Amino acid sequence: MKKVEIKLKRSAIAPLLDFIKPLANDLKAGRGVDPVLPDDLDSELRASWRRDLVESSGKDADTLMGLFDSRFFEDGAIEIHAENAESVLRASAAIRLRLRSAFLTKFSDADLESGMLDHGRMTREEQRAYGCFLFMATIQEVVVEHLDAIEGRDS
Amino acid sequence: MTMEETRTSIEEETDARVRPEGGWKVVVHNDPVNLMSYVEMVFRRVFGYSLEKARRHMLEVHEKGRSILWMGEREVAEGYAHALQRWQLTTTLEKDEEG
Repeated sequence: MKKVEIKLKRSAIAPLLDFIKPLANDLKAGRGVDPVLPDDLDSELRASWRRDLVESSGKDADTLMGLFDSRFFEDGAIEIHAENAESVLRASAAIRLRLRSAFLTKFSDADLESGMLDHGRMTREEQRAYGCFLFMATIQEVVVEHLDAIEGRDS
Repeated sequence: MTMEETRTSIEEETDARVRPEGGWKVVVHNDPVNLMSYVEMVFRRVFGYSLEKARRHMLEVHEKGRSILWMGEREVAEGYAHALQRWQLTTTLEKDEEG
């Protein structure tokens, strides 16, 4: 099985994981899963639609947090392969959206998109949230870049 | 390709799809969080679009705030919208009033 191994600095990442874990639990509990659905959708289908999204988000969150297992705490490595790549991508996106809505609301869309936030204007909590926001983006960028290879396609 | 050519191209594709089918639009809206490379990858995965077509739609989302990714029957549109929401993209279904 083809895989991408990412080596991380444990001392830098471990505090971010403490911040990310409650957000992953939020996803499993369905918090932050709020899709815009057609007004005419009947209540049963509406409930089923949302339930599917919550289940999917929960599984994705478990997969993401599962990357940071004993191996990571031994040598700082995480492994992305064909079986976990999609979930890691989706969960990273979901965590970033939660970080934005829960901790980074005072920053404009333009500032956030440019990645040029002024750390001097941030509280300690916002700095940690932004660190997680960037960390999740980096994971996504690496996985997207190598996705064809991970899944055995010629790029 | 210039942005103007890109817009024209997308509009032409949209028109070609909507006239025979009518029905429902799957619309993806811009957000300041999801990465452009990620959005492009999702469009390729969900719709099987080429890299070029996925990129055109991604840029339309980024520049204009929204892009119509697909048009057609309600049931199929719901499937696409659900898939895009699983990928954490802000997606709505809209009735095509001209269809």
